[in-house]
Amino acid sequence: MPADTTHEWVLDRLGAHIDGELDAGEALQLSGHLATCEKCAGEFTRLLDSVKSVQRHMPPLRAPDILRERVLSSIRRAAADAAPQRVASSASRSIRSWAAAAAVVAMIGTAYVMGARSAAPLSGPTADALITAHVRSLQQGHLTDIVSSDQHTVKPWFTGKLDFSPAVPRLEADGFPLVGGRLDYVGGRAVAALVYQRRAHVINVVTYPVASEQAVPPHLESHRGFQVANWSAGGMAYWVVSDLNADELRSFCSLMRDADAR
Amino acid sequence: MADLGTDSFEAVVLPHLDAAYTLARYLLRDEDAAQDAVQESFLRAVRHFRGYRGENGKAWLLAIVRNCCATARTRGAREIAFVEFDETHHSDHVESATPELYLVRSDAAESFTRALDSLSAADREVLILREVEGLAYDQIALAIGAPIGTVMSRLSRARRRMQTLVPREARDAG
Repeated sequence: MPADTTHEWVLDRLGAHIDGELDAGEALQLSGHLATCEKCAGEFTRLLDSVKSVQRHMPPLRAPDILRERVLSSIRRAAADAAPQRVASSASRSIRSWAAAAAVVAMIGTAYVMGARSAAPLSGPTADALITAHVRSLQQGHLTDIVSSDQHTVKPWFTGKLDFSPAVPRLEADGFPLVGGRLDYVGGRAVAALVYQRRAHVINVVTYPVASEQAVPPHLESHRGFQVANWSAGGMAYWVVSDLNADELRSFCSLMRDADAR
Repeated sequence: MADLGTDSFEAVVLPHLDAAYTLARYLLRDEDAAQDAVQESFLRAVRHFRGYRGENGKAWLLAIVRNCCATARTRGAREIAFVEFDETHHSDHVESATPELYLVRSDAAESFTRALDSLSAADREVLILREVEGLAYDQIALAIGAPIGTVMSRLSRARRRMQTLVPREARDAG
């Protein structure tokens, strides 16, 4: 053992030794001391025990899928804001930037999005499945298959594509313009998705027929930063997903229900 | 961004999403705040990626996450008085995996949480970067913008405290 190995020198380096941060010479010198000094060896064992216990108590975590999607979607928007607008379309400005952005992030997102999608439950929509569908609709330039603010264009478009015909209320007078519609696949079934807008917020309304005519009153919940509302009336189920605040989404839902009842 | 080489954003930064979430979750101890901080971090990372000079991608990203969490904490302190209580939302938190809940609810868990709480924010952060994120000392130095000597003294102080404050039997129980 080199003459300069003191207990203090050793005790100062126990942590670095555990972390593999000592150079080879120092590590050798320290191990040599521990082999012969019971007191320092005891300190080393106690420190190692404590470090392992902390590591066991604080495991690394896995980011929730919904966060993965939110991150990808915000990266995409940032990229779109930075890039010049290349896609010309008759759709609204926001739709245009989504499309441009989708091209930019398609490659980044594919692996994550595919993973998230295959994990979506297949029996009946859950809040997670709906949010996944909502985020997917924003992500891949697939917000709408038919772009129109006219319900007389959107409603007939679904005919022949689905075995039911969704109600498409006009709510622009109340500040919720219709953007369009699309066919979607949520919770293992084909559904009609109506897309409304409030400022920069997209509202997806997923609707499909249910066996019971009995109405189920609306229920709104906040789920991972999104609002998810659902109700059923007249044999149709409605699911509404948006990142709009709860109050405005609640009034959107009552407008939808009133329009439907008329 | 379209560049898919080994230096691209998706190759350097995106793989560390879990690490970013882990750090934010342990620093902020709140699911929603952590998710927001991670999202904000990736936005900043995209904007500043031109400033990335080939250093360790994980440490580079975690430096941003750390700053976002610091901002979130000061903002959170101001906003907390205005948070409306929403039962569905808040009851969610009982089920969610807060770091504290990884611990068995016991005296052992309590003493562990108390010990962690008793660390200064600066020491706790270095402990998390080392024990949970597994960063090397030079990477921690990069992430917190301090010299390696500072990293070592904070880590050693934090570890000593954990060792003193968490009784041996509590460690075995956890």
